[in-house]
Amino acid sequence: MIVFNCPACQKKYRVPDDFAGKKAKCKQCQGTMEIPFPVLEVELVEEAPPEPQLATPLPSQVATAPTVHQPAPIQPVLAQPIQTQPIQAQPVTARFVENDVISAEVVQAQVFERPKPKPPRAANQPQVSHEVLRGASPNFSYEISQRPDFSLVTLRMEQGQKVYSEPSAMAAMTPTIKLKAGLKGGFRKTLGRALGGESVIINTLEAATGPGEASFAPGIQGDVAHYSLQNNSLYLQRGAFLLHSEGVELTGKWQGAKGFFSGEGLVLLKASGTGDLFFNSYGAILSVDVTDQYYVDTGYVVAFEDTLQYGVTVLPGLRAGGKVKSLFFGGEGLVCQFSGQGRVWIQTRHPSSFISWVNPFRPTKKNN
Amino acid sequence: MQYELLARPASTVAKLMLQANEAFTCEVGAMISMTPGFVVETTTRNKGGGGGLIKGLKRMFAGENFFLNHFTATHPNQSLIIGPQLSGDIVYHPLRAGALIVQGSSWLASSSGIEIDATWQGLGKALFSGERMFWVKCSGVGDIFLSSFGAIYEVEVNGDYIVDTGHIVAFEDTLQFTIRKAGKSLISSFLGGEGLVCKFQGQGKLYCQSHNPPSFGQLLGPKLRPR
Amino acid sequence: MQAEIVNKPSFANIVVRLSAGDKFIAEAGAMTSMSTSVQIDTKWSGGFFRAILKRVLGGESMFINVFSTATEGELRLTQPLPGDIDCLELNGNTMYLQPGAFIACEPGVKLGLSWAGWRMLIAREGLFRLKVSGTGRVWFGAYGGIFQREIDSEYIVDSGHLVAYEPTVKVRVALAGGIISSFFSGEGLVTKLNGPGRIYMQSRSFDGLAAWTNAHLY
Repeated sequence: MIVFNCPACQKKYRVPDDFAGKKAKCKQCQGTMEIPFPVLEVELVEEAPPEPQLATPLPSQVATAPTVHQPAPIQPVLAQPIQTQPIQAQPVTARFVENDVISAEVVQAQVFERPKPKPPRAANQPQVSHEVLRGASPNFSYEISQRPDFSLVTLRMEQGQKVYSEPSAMAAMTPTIKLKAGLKGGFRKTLGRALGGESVIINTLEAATGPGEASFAPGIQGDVAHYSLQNNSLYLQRGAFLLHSEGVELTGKWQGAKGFFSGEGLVLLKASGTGDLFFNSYGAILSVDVTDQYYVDTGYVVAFEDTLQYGVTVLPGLRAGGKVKSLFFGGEGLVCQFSGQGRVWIQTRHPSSFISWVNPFRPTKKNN
Repeated sequence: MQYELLARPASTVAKLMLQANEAFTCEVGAMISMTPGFVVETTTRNKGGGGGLIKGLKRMFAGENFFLNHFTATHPNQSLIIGPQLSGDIVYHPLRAGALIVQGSSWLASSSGIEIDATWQGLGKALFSGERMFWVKCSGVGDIFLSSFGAIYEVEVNGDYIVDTGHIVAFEDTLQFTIRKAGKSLISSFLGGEGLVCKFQGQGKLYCQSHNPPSFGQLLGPKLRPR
Repeated sequence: MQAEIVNKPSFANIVVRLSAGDKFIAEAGAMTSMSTSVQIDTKWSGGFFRAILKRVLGGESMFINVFSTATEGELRLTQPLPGDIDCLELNGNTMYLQPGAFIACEPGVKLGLSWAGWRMLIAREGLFRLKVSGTGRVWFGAYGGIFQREIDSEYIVDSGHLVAYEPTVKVRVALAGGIISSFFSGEGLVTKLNGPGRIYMQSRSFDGLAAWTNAHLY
């Protein structure tokens, strides 16, 4: 409804919104009036004070506020929030870009000191899953946004620079970039990648006619992490590869029998050399610095450094009754055991759960 | 036990830190990673490892074979990360008195002081998109972790409030509830897409989810290969 | 009336606070929870025939809900997809949206269909697109995070990643690379845009999700 006064005699009128902008004759003074547009409040962010008689919805304090919950009042039985360890931000060497680093102190009794040139964040700051990650390397400068569930990698390249990507990953680009599909690395390496769940084809994107910008997105929802290889290797789970720069070689690695029982595929991808690597996950990526031993459910391993030893074992400390033994051969009860010192990246969801869930929504075949 | 929720609101996981002899229960398949200092007991029994009673479990897991993991820490400062199957959020609810009524698929984990009753019939034949929903009543004193599809938001009901039935995660049993149609007529309720809604009255906490799985599934389903 | 988008970009939803006399229009099924003081009126979206067209061609629901209150009330709205929601303010101008993207608007906004061109069918974008015009705010959503660019010349967007664009942007369909590369690269056809104008893109494509799911089904 539009509420307004006649400009001549101030008589008050109330008309439906459809009349906005139209002319009308005032009933009182016979003057011509132009009906104004309704005035709308455009405040998008402020919250109205709570009304006593209505329910007081708390808009997503739970979701957008710092994820560290406020401590519950004294109740020895109830869980207490963990005081967030200072989150170590991106080191200057650009070797690691932190995605939700879980400080080593929480995971293990020993503390492993890594060089941390940047000052630690304040202890009560929230986990930074939503922050845009930025970085630069000799190959390009990059930005990872829309984190952690719909992560998008945007690269800015100088003329002549190129990047190699998995097929269908390109989301948007400037016309200075040229896209070419190809088999890269020769037949055996290509076969190794195929076994590792990646496509045989690798696309080359080059800023051919000038500097350019390209954005890449995986097909599934999830996060993207960046790793800077410095003449070392990183092992990736099936389907985790997204992009790499010059200087990086991608091959398949046979895991043999121990990989078989993990139910996760026989081959890991190995990225080695010196350069940049981007890998993706299903769900958010958490990185853990292992200093002694750590166990990860096999389906949730995304990548790990070559300094770690990796094996598949029965869930430690597992006690089970007779009927439950069958679980082990079905894959439950088996975990990856990481030992040594290095970083492992884990994802917070598993795609097979999504496939099981979506199955009932599929159309059924019609029987004629 | 200490906890922290990471990667909200769509890929949320709960990181738990336990001291020696602290214990909790979760569904097998919820564990993502952990430090070595735990004893894990996998059971199908009605009695939870820590003594908490779980009634009607078969119904809770739709009568399929179901397994629970009971984790007990054997050393100090052991940590463990758990997460649900679907994309979504996790919320922590400390239960001190009364009961929390939870949508069946939303229960993720609870400590040993919590009793779970999956035979609760309070909301009767509440339907969502033709599927029967079932509810679980949690009582006792301890910690409860709930998951959702969508972001979880809390509503402190003080009077009354209306929620689309597919968007209820959990509510305290101090609230009264009635199922009713959303609009002026039954037909407009269904055409308007809201169908049935639940009206809560009284005082208590209500957890809602911002999205619901059937709406997403019905959009994606037609684009998939037939089965 | 105040409106706020929360939980961006993963499970974005809209929190609206209505005062007496406010009206808020949303597609059917968008409401998740609300105060009891809010009323819902269900109507055909733009009249009977237009509503049918919008459903069949525009991917939108046939019905819209008009929310109003006599006193004050709060309302939460969502979309069926996980993903982002963004808000546009129209001031007599027009914006094109991909089918299915519309969620809600203020009463001064009109939602209609517009012919997108035969080529758009080949690019799997659909023959029609949604057209929003008038005055007021429009809320639209997508699968993925929504990000925008102001383009002043050519820009290439993979099919399935374009959410909204101004009418000043010219849109055409082209091959991603050479003929062989386009086929093998997995990109196929792309959308070539020519500015000036503002475009909104999404960081995932719903068709890409369907393709990935189909590849991994039992």
